[in-house]
Amino acid sequence: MLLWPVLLLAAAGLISPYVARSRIPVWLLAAAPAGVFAWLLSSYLRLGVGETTAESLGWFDPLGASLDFVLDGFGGLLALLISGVGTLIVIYASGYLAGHRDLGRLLLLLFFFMASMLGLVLADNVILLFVFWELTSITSYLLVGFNHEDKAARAKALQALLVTGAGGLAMLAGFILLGTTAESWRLSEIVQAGDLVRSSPVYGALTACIIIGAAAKSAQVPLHFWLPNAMAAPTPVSAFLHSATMVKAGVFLLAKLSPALDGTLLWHGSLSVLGSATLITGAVLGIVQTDLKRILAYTTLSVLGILTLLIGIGTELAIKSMVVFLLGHALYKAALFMVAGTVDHETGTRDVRRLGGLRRAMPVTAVAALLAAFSKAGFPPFFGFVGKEYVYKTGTALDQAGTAFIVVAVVGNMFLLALALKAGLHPFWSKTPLDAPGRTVHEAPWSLWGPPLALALCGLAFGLAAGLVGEALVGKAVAAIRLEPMTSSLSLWHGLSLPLVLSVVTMAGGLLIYANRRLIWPHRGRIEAVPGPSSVYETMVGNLAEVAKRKTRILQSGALTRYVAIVIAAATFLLGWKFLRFGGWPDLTIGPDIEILPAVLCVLAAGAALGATIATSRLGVLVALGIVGIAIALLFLHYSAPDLAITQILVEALTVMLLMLVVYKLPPVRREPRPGVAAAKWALAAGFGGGMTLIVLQALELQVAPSISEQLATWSYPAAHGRNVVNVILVDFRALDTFGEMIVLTIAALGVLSLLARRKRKREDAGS
Amino acid sequence: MIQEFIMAFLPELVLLAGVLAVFVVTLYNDRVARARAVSLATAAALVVSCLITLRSEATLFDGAYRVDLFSQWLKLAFGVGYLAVILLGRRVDDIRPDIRPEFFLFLGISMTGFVFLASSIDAITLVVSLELSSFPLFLLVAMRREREGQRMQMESAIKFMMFGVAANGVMLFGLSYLYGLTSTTSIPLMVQRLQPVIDGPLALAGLGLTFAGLYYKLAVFPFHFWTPDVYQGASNETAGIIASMPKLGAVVILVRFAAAATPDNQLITEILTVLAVASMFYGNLVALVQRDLKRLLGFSTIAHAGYTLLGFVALDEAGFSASLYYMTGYLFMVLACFVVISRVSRDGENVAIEDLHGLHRRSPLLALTMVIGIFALAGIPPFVGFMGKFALLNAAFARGHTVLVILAVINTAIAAYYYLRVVHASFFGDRDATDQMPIALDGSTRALCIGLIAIVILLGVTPAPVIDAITTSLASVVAVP
Repeated sequence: MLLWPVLLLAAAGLISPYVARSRIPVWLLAAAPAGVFAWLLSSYLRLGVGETTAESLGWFDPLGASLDFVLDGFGGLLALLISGVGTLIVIYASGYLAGHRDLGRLLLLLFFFMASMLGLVLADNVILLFVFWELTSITSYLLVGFNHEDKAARAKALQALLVTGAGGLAMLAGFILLGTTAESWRLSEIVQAGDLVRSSPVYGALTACIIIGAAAKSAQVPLHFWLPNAMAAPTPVSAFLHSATMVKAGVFLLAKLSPALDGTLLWHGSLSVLGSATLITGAVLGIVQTDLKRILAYTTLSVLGILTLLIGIGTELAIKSMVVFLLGHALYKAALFMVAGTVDHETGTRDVRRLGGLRRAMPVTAVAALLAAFSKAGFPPFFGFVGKEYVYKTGTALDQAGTAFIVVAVVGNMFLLALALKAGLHPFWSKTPLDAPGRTVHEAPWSLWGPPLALALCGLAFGLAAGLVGEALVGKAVAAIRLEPMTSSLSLWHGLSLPLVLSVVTMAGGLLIYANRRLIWPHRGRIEAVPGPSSVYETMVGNLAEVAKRKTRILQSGALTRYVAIVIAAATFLLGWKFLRFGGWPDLTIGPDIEILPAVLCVLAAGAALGATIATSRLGVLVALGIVGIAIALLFLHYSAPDLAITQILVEALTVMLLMLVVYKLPPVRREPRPGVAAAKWALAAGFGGGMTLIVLQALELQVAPSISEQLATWSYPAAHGRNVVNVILVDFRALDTFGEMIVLTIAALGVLSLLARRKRKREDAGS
Repeated sequence: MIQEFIMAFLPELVLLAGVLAVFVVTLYNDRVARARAVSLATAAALVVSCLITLRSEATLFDGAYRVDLFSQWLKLAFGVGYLAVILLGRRVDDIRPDIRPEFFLFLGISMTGFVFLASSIDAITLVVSLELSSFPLFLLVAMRREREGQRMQMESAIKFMMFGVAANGVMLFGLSYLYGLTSTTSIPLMVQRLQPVIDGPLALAGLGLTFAGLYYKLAVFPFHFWTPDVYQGASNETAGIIASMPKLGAVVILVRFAAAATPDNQLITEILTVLAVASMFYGNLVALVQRDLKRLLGFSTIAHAGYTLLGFVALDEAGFSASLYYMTGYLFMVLACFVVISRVSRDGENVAIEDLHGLHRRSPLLALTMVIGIFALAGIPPFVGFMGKFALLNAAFARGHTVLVILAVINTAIAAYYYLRVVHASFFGDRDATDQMPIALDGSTRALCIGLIAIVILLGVTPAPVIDAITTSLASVVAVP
């Protein structure tokens, strides 16, 4: 049953281009995610704490890939967010891009993304999870680059895909290691095998791989830069991908795998450091932004940082605050993104320096923005307040490093508060004069203010009914992550305690930052110009292209001689590898029974070959090669093989003559301009020749079967009734061979004949 | 008896009859359309007859020719590829007008070679089939018409042939060593008799040289040099053929010979590892800077050859079947890309990446085919390229080649970059692209596109039955009789 929601969403995607072209209201497509949401909700509410609904359809078992799905407390919660927020996003997108010629294509991709995301959180098999993981990367790439007429949008989309895609590959490596270590590909079994995984020698490698993959997806420092850049996406896409769903995938995975991987310094240390760094980076860079969506993107970074940090701490309180924070963030951030889009849609700008006082023209949007911003700022009684309280509570309950954690969290939250006000309050309530030339701003249609308002109201309701939410959602999620039920319930109000004091401090600090926000704007350029990982990425991509160009020039030059040289070099390398690595050198000692004549001939051949390499004219080369051939023929003769010697001499003469004819027509030789090239060729020739010699010598030492010459001699008379062995071999044993040679000769003769005839005819034609 | 023979030899008979018919057709005037129709019918009949004889088993011609599941599914793959290539070629407008029908004739002859190759279990039959399959391809390259700015074909054909003949020579040299060692030309026997001497220098030299001839076909570094030049110089449809069929053929023979070595043969695994790594890095890095789409695919072929070798590094059944599965998938992925190239091309010219701009508006189906083909090549799920790579990585990993697996994964990441440039261009594209005329597709092209997309997806999402079937069929090849 768990595969059906995924397929249903994909099917909705397939029909959406047709719906977009027809007269049917496009927002009706939201029925698909709404239906999925309703079904998931009823299943989820029926699910007891710590229970799961699992199913397996099989797929490709030999490789461990199988269609295993599971609905548990945490995956289910995210599935609810995906389908719930997805429903609102579809409605929003149908209003935002109403009449756009590519609305159908956007919805198609959006539905595909939704389906993959849903598959990701419901998958119980690491390979299946990876498949969905990559699908979300791909669909998000196509979604972010949707404004394809904008060159920048395309480059940013590619950057996002390369970073998350490369991270995904690291993760695949991690998964394969994890699967083989835990001896299972099922997540639900892997998390039970924590001791096995932690005691494995590859624990460090697999954990690092998985953290890299998750960090790339969830935009952790230093792989965070793609997220703000991905704001080139159309707003409905950002609202869905970059708040509630895709960027949470990394966090989701880390939380889900924490029972199998946590408990080591590597895990807790690296996640805490990553999380803290991301939190602070997002906060500092966010405050200098002036574009509404970029502000929101940087706050998303901060939140992702907090979530990672909390997973890194890993106590029950920390996981609980992580779930609460995640839920709260999904509700308010999607709403704020949609509000930013609505403002953009109505005024044509997202620059906060040009926005102000919109509450009169857009009252409902203003209310939605206000509610969402308050939740984000962590004002009571919003759900964001609950999340922040629990984060502080986690800090106060820590045995060690509690102070450091609290400092980081308070500073981060101060900035978050300031940024919330900047993004949610400033455009509507500030006195900045609105600068939207040529526009009369009025309230957006319902499809643009309805979805954010609904989400923002959820944020308020969840805060007021914190106990209920804790029981129905958070408790199950925490139990699913920690594999044991939560010990205390969730509440909005904790009485006068240290967390509350910290909240008050946060509020004061945040308001102070917000009030002074204009002081920072002039320094924007300088802060942004600080070289970060983004420029490292640019340099790497640039260098890769440069290396590739240079390599192409050197190796793939189009010149056949160079190709041949490389082939020979590679062959020499492999030969050398064999001898140097495995030994097996042939016996190189020269025996006392050395004969004079063959030795002289060999020296002659070698000397002539050497001469060929230093000869300055083609003719000289040919003559030298001729000498090599003749010397070899004489060697044959010496070892009583006259037929071979004759063949050799004939072939030698023929080739030399043919080459002479060609050489005659060729332009004069141009000498090698550089001595280095000649030396390299010498080395190559020496290496290859030496290697071949070694192989031949080695072959000589090996005798696997009885020599064939003996056998032919014994067979000669009984089998073929011939006493002349050579004759018998030629006409009997190798009859087919001889026959073939004869045919070749005949064909060659015919060819020559026809050439001569033609020549004669030509001459006659010329004569007549 | 004769009935059994026909049941076992039906695909070959059908193909031979078809090719002879094409030959007759080429003797008449004005015969392109007819040659194409006859070829098309032949290809369809070949596919059907392969399906009919899929379960046949026989050993023919004194043990030189083996018909079993392994050979028959390969023939099926070749048959489907043949069909696709004919549809892809349309009316082969980029071939010299006076010899267009001969395009189909040579294509048919080459296909005959591939089909025979699948069943050849004797070194002599094998070499003959191999030559039969490759010589017509040399001619096809040279058959591209000459015109302004398009004079590379002869150079390409000569490079192709020079390398090809040299590689064949090297392979024959290697085979002669193997024959000398085992005094048999029957490959299963040869493999069996090689076992005791496999670590000896002669066996290694023989196998190494034989492999070198196959690396040329597969375009493994450093035997790859012809690839990009030939892809660029050949007409679009010819390049499509050269990019697909010979690769699968080479893998088949490699499997037959590699069965001689056991997984613990260190020298062979190390040599294969070096070649695989060199091919992957070479192909991917150079492909990064290509602008001509065919050249880009040419270099990516080299990288893919490297991936394929991963399965051979493992030197076990899982590895071989992964390689075969990957190459079968590759056949269709790369054909999908070439369909798009040949349709986007204006009058048969080469296509640069920029020419794809705005393709999704000019022809959504072509854009989709391109994107799916490229995603599959890049190894992105759920297409066959992903499952194939995954199976290969898994096979190599299972044998403990961890470093190799990591390097392969890094290469996948590099490759993603240039593949995505293609996706970029075809799916997003510039508004101010010069040629924004819609591309009209005829019915057969549509069918071809949809068929290839379906195969690439189906092979990818249902790997289990395919790989199972390959593994089962491999039993007769790998197991020493």
